[in-house]
Amino acid sequence: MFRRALLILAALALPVHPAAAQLTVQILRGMAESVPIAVIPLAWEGPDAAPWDVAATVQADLERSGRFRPLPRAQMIELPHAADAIDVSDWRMLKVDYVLVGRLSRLPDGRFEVRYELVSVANGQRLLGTALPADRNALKQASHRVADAVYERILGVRGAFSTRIAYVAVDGPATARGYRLIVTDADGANERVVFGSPQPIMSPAWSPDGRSLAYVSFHSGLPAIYVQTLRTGEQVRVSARSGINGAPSYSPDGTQLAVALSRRDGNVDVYLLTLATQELRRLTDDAAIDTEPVWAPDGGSIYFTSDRAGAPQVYHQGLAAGERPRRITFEGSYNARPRMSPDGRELAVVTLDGGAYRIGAVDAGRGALRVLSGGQLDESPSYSPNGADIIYATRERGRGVLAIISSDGRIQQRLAASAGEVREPAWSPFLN
Amino acid sequence: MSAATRPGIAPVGWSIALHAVIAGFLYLGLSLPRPEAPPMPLPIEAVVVDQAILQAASRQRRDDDRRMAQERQREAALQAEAERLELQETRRRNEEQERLAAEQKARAEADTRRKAGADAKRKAEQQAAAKAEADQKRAARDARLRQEREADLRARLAAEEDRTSAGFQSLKARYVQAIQAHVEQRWFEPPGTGPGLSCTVFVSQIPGGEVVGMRFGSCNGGAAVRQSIETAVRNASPLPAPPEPALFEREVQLIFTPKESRR
Repeated sequence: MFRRALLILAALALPVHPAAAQLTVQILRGMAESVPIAVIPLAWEGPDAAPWDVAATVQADLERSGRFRPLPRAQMIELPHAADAIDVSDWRMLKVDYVLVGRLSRLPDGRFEVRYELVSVANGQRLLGTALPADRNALKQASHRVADAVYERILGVRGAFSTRIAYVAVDGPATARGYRLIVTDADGANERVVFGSPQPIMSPAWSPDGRSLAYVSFHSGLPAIYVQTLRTGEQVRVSARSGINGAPSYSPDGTQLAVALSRRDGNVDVYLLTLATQELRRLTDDAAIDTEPVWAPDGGSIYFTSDRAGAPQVYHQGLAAGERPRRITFEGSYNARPRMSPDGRELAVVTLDGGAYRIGAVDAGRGALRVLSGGQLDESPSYSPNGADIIYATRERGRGVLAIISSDGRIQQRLAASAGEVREPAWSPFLN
Repeated sequence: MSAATRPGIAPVGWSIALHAVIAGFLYLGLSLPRPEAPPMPLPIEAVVVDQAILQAASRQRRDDDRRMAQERQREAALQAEAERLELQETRRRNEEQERLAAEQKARAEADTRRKAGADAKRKAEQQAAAKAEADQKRAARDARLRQEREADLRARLAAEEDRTSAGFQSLKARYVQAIQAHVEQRWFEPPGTGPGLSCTVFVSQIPGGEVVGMRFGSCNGGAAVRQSIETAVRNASPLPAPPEPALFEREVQLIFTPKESRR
């Protein structure tokens, strides 16, 4: 009905020149926190129960993102399963903006198919219509991909529900600590231990293809950098030079690691290590500590932390010979552990804000700083691959936990994590 | 006497003088002496004495007579001429006097007339000036009164207008703010929007605020932004009612220009 009225009005409005609009209203900001959506349980035909509640996973993903407000199932007055069965006026009354419907069916080959459609209540338009085949044990992943598609179609940003998060979990008493490198799905589920050790594990970093993790482990007694392939579990030691071997960061092409080494002279500087050849190139040379390097998305420069000015601040240095580091952060007495946003426009940092360590976002060009988080000891920020969120470690009731904040600072969530203390989260790149 | 009146007076004087001169000539012409008749031969008494002597005497006498006659004739002629001249002179003097008198009279008359005219004119001018002055004064007074009245009216109108206009403007601003807040509260600003985004939407509403149509004007946002705006506008229906029914506009232009970055 709305569409029909719209057409009629469009016709009426045609002779009206745009300038004839008498009332001009400027909309300067969106205040709606989340998009109301109805994720209708998928139809399932079969004698047995549905193998997976796809809609529940999609709904949980969307809700957890903080950007959607799914309608509770109890309030759904009807359960259509196809776009043409949706009466938008009903959903309008429920103040729902989008309706996701679908059908789960068994394919002749024994696999399953998730068929779904997304409809805009505003104009009745069908925004998505896709079929995803999946094995039984991949139905959850398929559900995340549905959530990704809905997220992208409505928000214009690729969803990151199918991605993963790596972090370090610490448990046990102080005398018998256990360190585990863990990878989970982005929703915290499907936890897998990649590597465990009674000695510290630090600084996990994803390879750009999402297949490997580089990290620092002390399990040999001294800090060394390892690269571990997730699928096979194969672990390769890539740097065990004397002194500190720390803070690995993959180059965008995955061929090099930027690392912090102290070597024999004990002076911690940033080096570039070519993985295939073990070729090492010193990037910085300063008596101060230069560490925590991270690559610009174009691979042409490195951001790092240095206390050469007396306190940790973020510096930027091109990789060409003769380039000098340039200080980026000037607001606040402490800005450290930079992580680049995927678009290269911002750096997430740990900043000292009124006596508390918080996550801030620094404009990579202008250096302007926005404090995003509100904790007391927030650490180790890492951007989601779509740039929409930042995951970081914080403390809750004396315990290290993971938190996610939208990169505009508006939406905060806690990530359910395994028991114990969790540190140093690293968000994976897009995986498919 | 103003310079402008002088050319008007001179021809009158000249005309009068000319008429007088012509009249004088006419008079002179009519009284001119007729051409002098030849002198009449005088009667002569002749006595014959001696033929020769007589003849001689007679000749002598004749000659004398002739001479005398001629002399008399000449004298007569001279006399006549003198008389004529005297007459002529007298006439001339008379004429001259008359002419002078006429002239004087004419001049006097002209003078009188001129004086009268000038007086009349002056009087007229004075009257005109007085009238003009009066008129002017009256006009000035009228104008002042009118101005005062108008100023008063204007002031009252302006006050009125100000009241309604200021009121109108503030009411309109309130209406605009109400719509702005109403739409903003319903707009989910997609991540990644921010300064640089500019989307204009023309929304058609009917009295009561129900949105019955919308169309995008210029918009540099992508599909998700347009989707979010369309949804916000649909959700904003019905739009808030204007505080004054006269403020209602069928078409409302919404310009989505976020100021802050939504990364």
